[in-house]
Amino acid sequence: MNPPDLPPEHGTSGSPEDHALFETRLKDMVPRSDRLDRDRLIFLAGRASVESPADVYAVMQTARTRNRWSTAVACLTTAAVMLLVFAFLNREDNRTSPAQVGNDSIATPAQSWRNSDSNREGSPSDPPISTKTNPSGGLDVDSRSTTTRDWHLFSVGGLASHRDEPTSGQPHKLGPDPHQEPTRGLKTSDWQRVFDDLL
Amino acid sequence: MDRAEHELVSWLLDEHGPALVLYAQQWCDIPEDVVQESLMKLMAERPVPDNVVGWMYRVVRNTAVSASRAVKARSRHEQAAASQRHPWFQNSHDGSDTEFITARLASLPLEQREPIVLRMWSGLSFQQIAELVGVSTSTAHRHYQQGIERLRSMCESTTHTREANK
Repeated sequence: MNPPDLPPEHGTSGSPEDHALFETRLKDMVPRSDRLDRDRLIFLAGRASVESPADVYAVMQTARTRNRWSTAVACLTTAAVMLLVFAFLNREDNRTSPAQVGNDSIATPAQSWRNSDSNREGSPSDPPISTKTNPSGGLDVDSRSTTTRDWHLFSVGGLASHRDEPTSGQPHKLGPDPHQEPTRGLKTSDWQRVFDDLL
Repeated sequence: MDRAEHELVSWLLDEHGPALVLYAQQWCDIPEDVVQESLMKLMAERPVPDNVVGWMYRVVRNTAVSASRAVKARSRHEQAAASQRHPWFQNSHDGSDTEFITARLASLPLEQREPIVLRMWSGLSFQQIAELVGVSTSTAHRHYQQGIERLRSMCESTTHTREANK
């Protein structure tokens, strides 16, 4: 005995009566109905039905805003870390100026300023750089060590000349020196122009 | 939820709730959660599907398969223990018979067990079963017949063994 939409049986053993009896026996078994909390499910279904797509869109928007904030915070943190690293590396570079690396006898004017700056007590009101004529006819460079100026002057080129070799404890001298060959780097007028630019 | 939707959900739970749970149990041991999730999907569906019953069984099937993949890593022993904790059918007058048939039914291959469950306890036609499972109507019917025959032979052989032992 088959259900109405069933084709006739093929390849089954046993009598049709036994088969039908067994099917009836199976149908008598009732699936458990106590596993579903009907009231709770209806409540949840009602709540799900009133959550319109606009609400879902609002939830998605909130999530997007949160992601935007997270991205902004991550970017700012990364930028701050990069700046810190850059500042640290810059500080390390200033401790050993490029002119000192590999040849300690060659010093830049910037380093001379730094040395002279460490040997004198400067006041904050002092001008950053001032020049005056010393008794020997050269220019005394009175300066304060400023990293930006160091690198600016160094980048002008030709600063690592032997002519600019500092005298320990003495102000740095610039100007014509008849006992030495002409410098490979900047002339006095060039230095003067650089200082004027800086001032 | 308007009145029509409330009546639809009530009718669905009354008429097909236990059968949906039994159907989901063929893949996973959290059938209640699967049915609940499917019902929520139905409520969010706009417009409401024409064939609600067929849609619901399809969603339950897909959700149960997904849930079964999630617990695939569990050992066979744990799965068997979970199955015993949640029997499939209500206890009849002779409860041993129900457990006996349930154990044999659970041992059938899924391709034979699925049409039996859908035909016997969900009341779906073979055409609906075929669409749900993704086979032809004749194939669905053949699997059903093979499963019933195999189940019957298993039950009869066990009954003969019992009588011989007596």
